[in-house]
Amino acid sequence: MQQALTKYKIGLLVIGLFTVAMVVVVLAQASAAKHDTDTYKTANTIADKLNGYTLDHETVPRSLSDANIDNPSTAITYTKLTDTQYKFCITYKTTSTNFDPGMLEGSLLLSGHTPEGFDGYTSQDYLVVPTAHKKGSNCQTINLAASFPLNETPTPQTTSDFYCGQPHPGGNTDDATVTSISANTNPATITVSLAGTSTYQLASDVKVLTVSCTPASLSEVLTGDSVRLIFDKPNSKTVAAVIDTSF
Amino acid sequence: MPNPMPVVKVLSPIGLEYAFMTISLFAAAGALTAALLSLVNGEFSFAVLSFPTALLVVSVPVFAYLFLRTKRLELTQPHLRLDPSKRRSTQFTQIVCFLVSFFTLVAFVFSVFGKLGGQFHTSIGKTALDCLVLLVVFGGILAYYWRDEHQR
Repeated sequence: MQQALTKYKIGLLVIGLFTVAMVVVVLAQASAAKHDTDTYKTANTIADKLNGYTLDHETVPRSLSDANIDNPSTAITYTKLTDTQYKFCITYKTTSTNFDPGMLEGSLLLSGHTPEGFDGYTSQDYLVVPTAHKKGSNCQTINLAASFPLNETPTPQTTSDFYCGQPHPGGNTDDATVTSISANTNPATITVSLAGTSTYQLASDVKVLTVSCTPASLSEVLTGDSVRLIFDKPNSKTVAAVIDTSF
Repeated sequence: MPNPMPVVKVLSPIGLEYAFMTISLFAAAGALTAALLSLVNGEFSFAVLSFPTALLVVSVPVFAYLFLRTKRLELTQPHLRLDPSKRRSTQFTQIVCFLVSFFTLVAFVFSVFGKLGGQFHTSIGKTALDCLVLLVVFGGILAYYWRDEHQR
């Protein structure tokens, strides 16, 4: 009987050794992960106060202490570049991504494909501390003037602040509801209802994104979906990006 | 006189052990799949690996103990292999593993079509590796129980 069980014991031993190796890998990273979690929490607290300060004063402080912000972490540095720009750096000990094996497995079985990478939302004019980061220094340069010129009356915006951290093409932004979409015509077109019904051409390299900034395909944009259209230049009728807010 | 009908359905003693083993088997399989998928995708971070590892640490010893115990009982008492409540657990396991393997293959073929049609931008090699992990784990469980059920 012992002989019959030997092959099963060997198989279980292999899985057991794999488990032990995983425990070693996890424990070896525990201290660095704790450091990074503390650093992230501190950075988030500082970011909230810094954003509050820049919104109130419309200028950046000379240092964090000038803005009455405590920085107990040596892993976080703040450098004033100009009156409207500053550099915020966080040094992490480990790499962290938004990878979720459970989501990957579910996505593979339910939607038939693996999700494409997304490193987190960042902004050029507002300090957001991304959850995903690389090992080492992670710097962001924040430019308050990116949203509107300081000390001037803000004018109605023709571009959206929100574009998934990507360079804005510079055109108008419209929020609308999809009436129909023709992906197979050349050029592809989208018809939307927005104070009437309008049809727009889609740029040949049109970017399609979900509201969480995950890349999507044109075929996933359906009639009735709420979309944000971003045009390639002011007063243009060519759509450079479609953000589907119904996902 | 009406036929007597059972009013309470209970598992046999070995059937209950098989139910516990099935729970720990799926926990271990899920954890192993998650750990392997993370490694295949180059993800070694604490945040990603800590939960699958915790699940492995608990489920693998529990599964190993129950598996060897029930196997030993089956070898000494062959009639236990045909115990109805034991077979209910093993057949449920086979159905779940078949569904996972089946839809993994569908997903792979769909990914190939999507890649050819330019709909997806993820690497087909990476998708193939992800699918292979699921097939090795769940297909392996299905193959084991299939052979176990069909051998004399």
